Amino acid sequence: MTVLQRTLLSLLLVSSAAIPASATTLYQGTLPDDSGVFLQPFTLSAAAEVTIQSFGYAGGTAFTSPLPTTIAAGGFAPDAILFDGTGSEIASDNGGHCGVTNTDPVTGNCDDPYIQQTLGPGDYTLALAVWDNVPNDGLLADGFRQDGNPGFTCAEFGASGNFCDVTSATGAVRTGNYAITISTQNIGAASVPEAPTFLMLMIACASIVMLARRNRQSIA
Amino acid sequence: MNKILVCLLTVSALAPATIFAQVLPVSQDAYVVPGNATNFGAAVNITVGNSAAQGLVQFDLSQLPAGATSGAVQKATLTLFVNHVSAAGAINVNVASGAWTENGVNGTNAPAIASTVASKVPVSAASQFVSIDVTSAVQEWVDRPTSNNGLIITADGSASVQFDSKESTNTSHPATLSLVLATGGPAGPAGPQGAVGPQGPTGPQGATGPQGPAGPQGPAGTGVMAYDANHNALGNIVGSFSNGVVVFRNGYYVSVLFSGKFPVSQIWWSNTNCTGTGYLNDGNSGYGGYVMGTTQVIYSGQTNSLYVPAGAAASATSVNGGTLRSIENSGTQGGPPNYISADADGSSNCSSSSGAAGGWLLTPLNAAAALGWSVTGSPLSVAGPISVH
Repeated sequence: MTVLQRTLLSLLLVSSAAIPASATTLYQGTLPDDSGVFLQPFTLSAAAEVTIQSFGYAGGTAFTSPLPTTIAAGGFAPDAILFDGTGSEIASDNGGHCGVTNTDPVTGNCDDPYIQQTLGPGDYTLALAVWDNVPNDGLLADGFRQDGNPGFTCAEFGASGNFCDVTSATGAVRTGNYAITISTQNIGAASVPEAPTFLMLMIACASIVMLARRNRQSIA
Repeated sequence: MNKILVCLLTVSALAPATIFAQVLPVSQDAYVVPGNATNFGAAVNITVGNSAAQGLVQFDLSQLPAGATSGAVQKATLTLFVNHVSAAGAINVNVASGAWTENGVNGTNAPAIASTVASKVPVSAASQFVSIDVTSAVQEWVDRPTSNNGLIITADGSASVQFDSKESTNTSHPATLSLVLATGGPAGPAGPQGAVGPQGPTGPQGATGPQGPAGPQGPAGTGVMAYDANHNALGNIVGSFSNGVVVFRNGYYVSVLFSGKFPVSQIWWSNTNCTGTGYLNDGNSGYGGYVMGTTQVIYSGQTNSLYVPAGAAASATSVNGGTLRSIENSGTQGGPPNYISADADGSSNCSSSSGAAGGWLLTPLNAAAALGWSVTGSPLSVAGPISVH
């Protein structure tokens, strides 16, 4: 085994050890109107079990680090869509997971999306839209059906305004708030871009270069 | 080879002439929220469960082949597309009991839920179809087209789901009714009449008959019975007058005051010690000319018996009774006519006297006879005191 081979083996081990067994990132915000869509790209460096869970509709506690985050109920009923690196829809969910997600105290619905899926390494985009604003043709590049059509939820009930709850029978008015987490459970290796990971990669790369130069110098 | 040929011929002979499928689009759909007057006929969803919302769908069966009968409907399947699940669970499907229109139905005028078509149909996830066997309902509608008021979809428990309506533009999967129909060629000629069948079973018991007529009037009640001192029944009391006269059913006509005492009276007796023939004093030192104002029954404390004046008529005049031997005063006497007084206390005394006994001849009580009443009871005379129980 050469010094380079030993060094590369060391790098993989260091990378695996450096990635936490579970990482949860919370994204919160407010859509300007019900035609808005929140987009969050992320990258997996290795296969991982990814869990995407919304809290904006019925509220709950997101187990963020170092402290959990409590989120209030009242946001719009969302539709979560996951696109792969080519922008093709690979998964979507619009709730219905009572017991896994919370039940809204007003509507009694469990409309927070929940997606749990093993994904390979690569680039992904998570989209969060107001139900039932769905992607055209299942392609991110084609936009969403309600682009440029704010107020479509209330219009379905013959009313004006935004964020009427289409999942409720009477169109209860909600807010534009959303809250969604992306959690990764590594399967050998996984990564949502995180500062410590990049830092370790940079250190490892620098070490490789340095060791290679030393090796070359000692051979010479 | 021959067996195969026979088998094929048999199968082809048994097979119906034509079996084909037909899919009917929904003609009306909506949902209602009980108690809510808003019409959701134009909604892009058929919401079921949330706020107790009930879905409504109806299909136009006039598109079936002419002459189709319920027997031709071999299978009918309602298909709904689940576009959203807010709370997984199950749904029930029932026949709608009355007519409704998509643009008019709401939670205050919606048809009632009638017979069950399917129950506890699971709906667990969105973006999938749910198929429900509604054959029995469709067969009924084919036989009686006016009964086709569609179907009502309700949540079983806490389910909250949404189906595509025909107004949906996202997924465009409105409800459909898939039919498997069997039709044959023209009917053949009627066959010969069969043999007479066996006698049928005994029919069911008839309905309860109408209420019968009212029964005859029952016998008169016994009421309160009166008895004299010898425990002879005088009959029950059938009436009374304000002057204290009480009428008994057996015909006795007895005067008693409301206090239970007899009127004050003075009786002149033909013998000493208040015995012999008694006369009710007319209150005058003589006799005749005085008319009895009111017929009364007189009580003699000395003989402990009841009497009535002779004739006992209000128009009877006093008579000469002969020699007076003794006088009985019953009760405390008042002013004339002194034998009738509200002060009567029932007391009695007897004293010797002399002179003419003028007054009304007293006879033992047979008041009914004396007053023209028919006497049906016995004894004909009454011995006091009278008890009532």
